[in-house]
Amino acid sequence: MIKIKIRGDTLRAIPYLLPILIAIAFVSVYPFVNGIIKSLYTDQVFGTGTYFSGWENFQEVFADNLFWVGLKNNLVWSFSCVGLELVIGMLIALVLNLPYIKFRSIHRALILLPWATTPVVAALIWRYIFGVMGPLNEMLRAIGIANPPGWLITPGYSLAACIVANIWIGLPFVVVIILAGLQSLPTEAYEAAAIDGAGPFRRFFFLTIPLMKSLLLILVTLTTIWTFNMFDIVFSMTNGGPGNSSLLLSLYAYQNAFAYYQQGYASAIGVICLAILLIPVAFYIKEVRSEN
Amino acid sequence: MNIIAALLVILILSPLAMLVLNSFRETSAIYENPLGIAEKPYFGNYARILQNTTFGRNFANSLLVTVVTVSLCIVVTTLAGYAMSRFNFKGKNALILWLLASQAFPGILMIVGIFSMLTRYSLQNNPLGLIILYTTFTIPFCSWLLKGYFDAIPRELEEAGMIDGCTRFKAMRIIIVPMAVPGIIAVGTFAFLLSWNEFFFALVVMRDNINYTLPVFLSRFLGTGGAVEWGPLSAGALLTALPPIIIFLFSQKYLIGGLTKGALK
Repeated sequence: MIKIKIRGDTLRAIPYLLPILIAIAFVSVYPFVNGIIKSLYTDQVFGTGTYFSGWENFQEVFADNLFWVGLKNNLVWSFSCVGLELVIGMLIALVLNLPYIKFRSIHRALILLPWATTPVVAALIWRYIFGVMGPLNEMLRAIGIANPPGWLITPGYSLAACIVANIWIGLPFVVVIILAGLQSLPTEAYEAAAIDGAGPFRRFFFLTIPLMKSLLLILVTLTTIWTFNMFDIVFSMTNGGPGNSSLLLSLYAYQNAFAYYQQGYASAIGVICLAILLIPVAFYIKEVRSEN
Repeated sequence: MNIIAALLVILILSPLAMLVLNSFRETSAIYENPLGIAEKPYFGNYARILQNTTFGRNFANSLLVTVVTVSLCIVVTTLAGYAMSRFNFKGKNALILWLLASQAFPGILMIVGIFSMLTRYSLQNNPLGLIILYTTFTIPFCSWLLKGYFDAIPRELEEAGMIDGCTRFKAMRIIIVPMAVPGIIAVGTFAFLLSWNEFFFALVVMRDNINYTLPVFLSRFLGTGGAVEWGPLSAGALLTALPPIIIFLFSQKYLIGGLTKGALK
């Protein structure tokens, strides 16, 4: 019989860790493992049961045209949202960080409001803004554009409209984090650089960016993960339409699991998403742990 | 640049301002003049949403799920954050690795993985099911954030308390926890926003309209195609978005501090 000796810190830590361990075991580890196992099973029609089918789900997913549409949209969606949030967020943070800006903390609190707004509420506000007869087209007509498009019902524009809505939610967080990073930069380095005659652009690219490299890397990886898995916006604004032009993988997997009752197929899509996300999450973990 | 900063803030907030204005206009007026403002505020949208829909019931559901989740989250993650800060237990690295990695797990994988368990224990279509899910979702971020707060509090403080005869648990409760209150407020706010605003799992778990939380109610009220009743919908959306916004405005100092100090470092 093997005796496991638990002593010292491990023994003392157990009462504190018990609740979190129970929660993680049942609601994180179990569904994670079970979800992956389910991707190896195929659901029979009308919910009559499942049978082991090995890699079949994955083979079908890779042969599924809609999966590739969703994947392409997911990549466009993630890179556009994260890239634009980062660039615009940096510009706004730089403006707010100027020494003579007044009411900085009020600005910062107000800018964060979209981030605290319920995403479904944000989605329906933007669905209204982008409507055929909505305020955006009303403004476009007022400046002389006679026939502005129906943004959400035109294949080339629907995903872009959803991207705008998602940026509105995601941007505030990026601004606030970058602003905090800017405010914690050492002033001595900037004074020295200014004495050496480095202009604002040189200071930004050769001082600010390298000094904030770690913070920016964590921000980018975390935002990428959140954006990639985002479901609420597209579900409520276009439901993937028109003609799957704004279909994201999270939505396609949801439809498979809960509209077509193909949970195995849906979890195979989930496993593929997870595999893609392993890249950003590896960078995130490495960076977070080296910071500690 | 002060003017640019102010304009940026106004631009970012304008969609919310429009929601407020539209909630006091009749749907027909909203359709006729998208950019208009009511000359006289119209309260019919609020009457319609509060009297003729399940909104009140769904609001109560959201409140129940959120309040219980916030309380559980604070208890669980305070204990866990303290343990991760103070003890070198076996498997600590594995636990931290799991917590960080689990932030990337796709929702679909988790819901498919847990769906049969929810059904088996009658947690489907039950607020308790959502509470269990949401509490677990808050754990990675919140325990990590509180670990950061506890790390910054010197160990000598509770050691002094223990020399004076406190148990470690009592020393933690009466000496360390009060010093970490800003972090606990940050964690509570985060848990509030997460559980009040969450949509995907609520959509899958809650099946009957009396059991919906508010985001699911709004999504159903929006409907699938056809003319949207923008007036009542705006009123409902505003009442949905208001509680997290108010909570956020009151505790934003702590949340921003927690985000920048604890969670990203």
